[in-house]
Amino acid sequence: MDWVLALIPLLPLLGSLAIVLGGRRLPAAAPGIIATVSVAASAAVALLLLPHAAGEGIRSRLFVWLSSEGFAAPFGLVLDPLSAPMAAMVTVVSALIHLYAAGYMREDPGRVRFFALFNLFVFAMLIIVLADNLALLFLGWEGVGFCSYALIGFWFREPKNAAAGQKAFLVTRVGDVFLLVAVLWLLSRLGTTDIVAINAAAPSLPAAGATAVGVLLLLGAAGKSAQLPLMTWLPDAMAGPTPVSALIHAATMVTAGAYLLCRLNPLLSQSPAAAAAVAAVGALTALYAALCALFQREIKRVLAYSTMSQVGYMLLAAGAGAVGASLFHLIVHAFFKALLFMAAGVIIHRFGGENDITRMGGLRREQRALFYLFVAGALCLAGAPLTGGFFSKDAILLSVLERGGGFYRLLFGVAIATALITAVYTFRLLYLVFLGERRSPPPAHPHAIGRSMMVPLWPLAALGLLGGLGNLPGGGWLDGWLAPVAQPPPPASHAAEWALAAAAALMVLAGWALAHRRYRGAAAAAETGLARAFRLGLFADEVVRAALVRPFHALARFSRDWVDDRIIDGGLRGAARGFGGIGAWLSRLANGSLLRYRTALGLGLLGLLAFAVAVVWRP
Amino acid sequence: MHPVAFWIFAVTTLAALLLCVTRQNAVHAVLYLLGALLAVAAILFGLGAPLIAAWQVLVYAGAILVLFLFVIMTLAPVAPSQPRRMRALLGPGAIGAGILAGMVALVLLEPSDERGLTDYLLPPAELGRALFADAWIGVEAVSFLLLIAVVGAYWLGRREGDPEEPR
Amino acid sequence: MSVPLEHVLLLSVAIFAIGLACALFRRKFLFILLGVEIMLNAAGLALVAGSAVWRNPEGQVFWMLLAAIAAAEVAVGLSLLIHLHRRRHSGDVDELRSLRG
Repeated sequence: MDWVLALIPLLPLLGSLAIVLGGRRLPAAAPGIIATVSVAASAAVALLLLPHAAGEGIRSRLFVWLSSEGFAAPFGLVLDPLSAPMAAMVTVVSALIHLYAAGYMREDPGRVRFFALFNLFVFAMLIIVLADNLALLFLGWEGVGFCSYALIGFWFREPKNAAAGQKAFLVTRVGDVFLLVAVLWLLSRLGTTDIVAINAAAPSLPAAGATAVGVLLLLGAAGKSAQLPLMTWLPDAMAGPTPVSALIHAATMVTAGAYLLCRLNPLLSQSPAAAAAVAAVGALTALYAALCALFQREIKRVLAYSTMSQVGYMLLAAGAGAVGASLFHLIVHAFFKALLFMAAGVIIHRFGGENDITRMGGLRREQRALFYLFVAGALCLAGAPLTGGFFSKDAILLSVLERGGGFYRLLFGVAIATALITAVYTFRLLYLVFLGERRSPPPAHPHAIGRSMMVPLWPLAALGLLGGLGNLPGGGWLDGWLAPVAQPPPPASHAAEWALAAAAALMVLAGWALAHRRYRGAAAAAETGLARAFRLGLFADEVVRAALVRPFHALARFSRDWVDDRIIDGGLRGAARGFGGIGAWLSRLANGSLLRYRTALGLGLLGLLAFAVAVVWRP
Repeated sequence: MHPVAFWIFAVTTLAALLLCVTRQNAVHAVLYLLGALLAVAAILFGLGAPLIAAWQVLVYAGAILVLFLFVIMTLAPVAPSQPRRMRALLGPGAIGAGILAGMVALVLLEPSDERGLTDYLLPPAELGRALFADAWIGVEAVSFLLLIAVVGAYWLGRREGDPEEPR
Repeated sequence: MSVPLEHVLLLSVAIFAIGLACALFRRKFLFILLGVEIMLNAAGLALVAGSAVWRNPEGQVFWMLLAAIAAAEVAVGLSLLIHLHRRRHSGDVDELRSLRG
């Protein structure tokens, strides 16, 4: 029965292969259809297997992938209470986005490459989710990194896009190195990369070692999840096609870091310092990203920073030890963020390729359905009461508060403030795009939005709004489900829960009010210096450039000019000249003069005789 | 052979050679070389190689040096010189005297049966057997070499207008 | 032997040296050939002396072969001399400079 589990990642892989091999010969729509069908089939399998994942779950060992003395990394998959919901979410959301992409990329000349990579990405992501050992997980980790690079820079003929893909790859690579060090250290210390074994053996690690591993894991997760300090790539990654942003940078790859920290939570919680670091990074990133989102002009960049902020919440929860809350928010966020991104794609289309929100407006009248869908997503994002986003964010806030201690209370304050800002920027987006007067003329030739592009948005809206039912406070279904693999959330008093809910709702309303006052009628006023700073991400790019890129370029230049040119090439040239000189000097011996030859002959003869005498000399 | 005889022949050889290499006149040089070779032949005889000694006189001195003379004469015929002073005969005279003295010493000193520097004497028959039975391959090789030399000498020596090889 | 082998060999070396000097330091091609002949003869003397000391015919056998080789060499050398003389009208070695490739 366990081979069925393997179908979940393998179906998209097969789809990718099929597209690569036959894509060109098939009709134009074929790559999209093949891709969507394979992922949908995978989703079906995941959902069917969901009930079997309770308790111990299902394991599947296909073959031994790496093997050497004392170490073996099998190609092993596990569907347990943590990985099953994640796998289900990934496949279902991917299938919906594939459907959207089938329409979005319908006429793109590179669609064979696109869908092959898209499916390959899903395969790699599922490997991360389902792997039972860190070596295999790392394989998927690298796989999503590569696919992300290829898909961000999909329209590579535009240098900006290629640069964005490169930037994403390089920054996440930095995180990958830290993760690799962590995995290797664990391997050397515990002799295994099996996740269950590592979690079980976690208490045996020394305090310093556990902290170090925790920090390394944090940095690895920060790379993929675009958290401080490795977050500079995410806003630029919006250069890729909208389906890519929806899938990779909202629902799946950026959540891989949070998922990793949830998977290894027993290990992480061994070191309170490391866990606190995780929580702190999450909270700070959430705040930073929310502020930056507030001042962005491009619609997708708002959503990108928003994702960064929400993933920060997930990390905050993971650091506080609330795996259930983190996973809950991860799943619900995937729903509504994918929805928002895909809607953004349609919006941009509607404005003829314009993505500056200060030039949009008035779309509510033209596209009612889109408006409602976007509102649904926005409410979830802001955490409006009774939406899925409300419950998931609340769960996080509650668990941080209940964690206790001054430090976590401080982080709680940060998180609450961020919630307010989240509401503000969400409603700002809503107002500027949909309400008011249209600020730019409609496009001359509007493409009809294919039905396949609008259809996936509805289920996602429904899931986002109703997702709260998955884990209602006070003993939700998800918490119960996760009991075998995660610590249960600390019990909170009802009073505290209600107070928190009220506070969150208050934040939403306050945020709405602020946005209403500021952005209701007018477009943005002149940008202040502070606003510009936030729009540029507090000059994070410049900091990286100055601290890392410039010295690196200087070093490269130095290597080229001095080491390579002068020392190495110069040395070789000098050697060649030396040899040439010796050769020229020697060639004077062969100048054609018989006299000279005769002399040489005589001298050689005498030399030989002297040698012969020396050999046989016996005094 | 008494050592004295040997030394007389040795000194004669060296003197003749020194005179040989310092002459301007090529013919004189060749003739002095002839004298030296004769003295060496006597020493060879004393070393128990009578056939070799004879060979030295016949081939080395008699054929090779004569060939030298032929070529010298061909290239630069020497005009008959004026009557020469008596002093010019000092050199050849000395060489000749030396050889003669050596011969005398050879015969007169130690007139025993042992006439050589060594008691080892290789009769010609033995030498022939050693040469043609044991070292026959060398003989074959050298004869081939002589053939090549003949061809080469002919080719190098032909004048312009000599008949070319038949096509 | 009534004369030690060393003395005979010493004589051979002396003859060889004179021959070498003649071949190296004279300007006429003819004298180079003469020098070679003298050197060959010196070698032959040493060979026969060895044959006498060790009572082995091989030394003398080799002398015979050596004499034949000397003859061949002289033949070719002299015809070369004639050839050169015809071309350049001088037997001077200094003139010969074109042996380069």
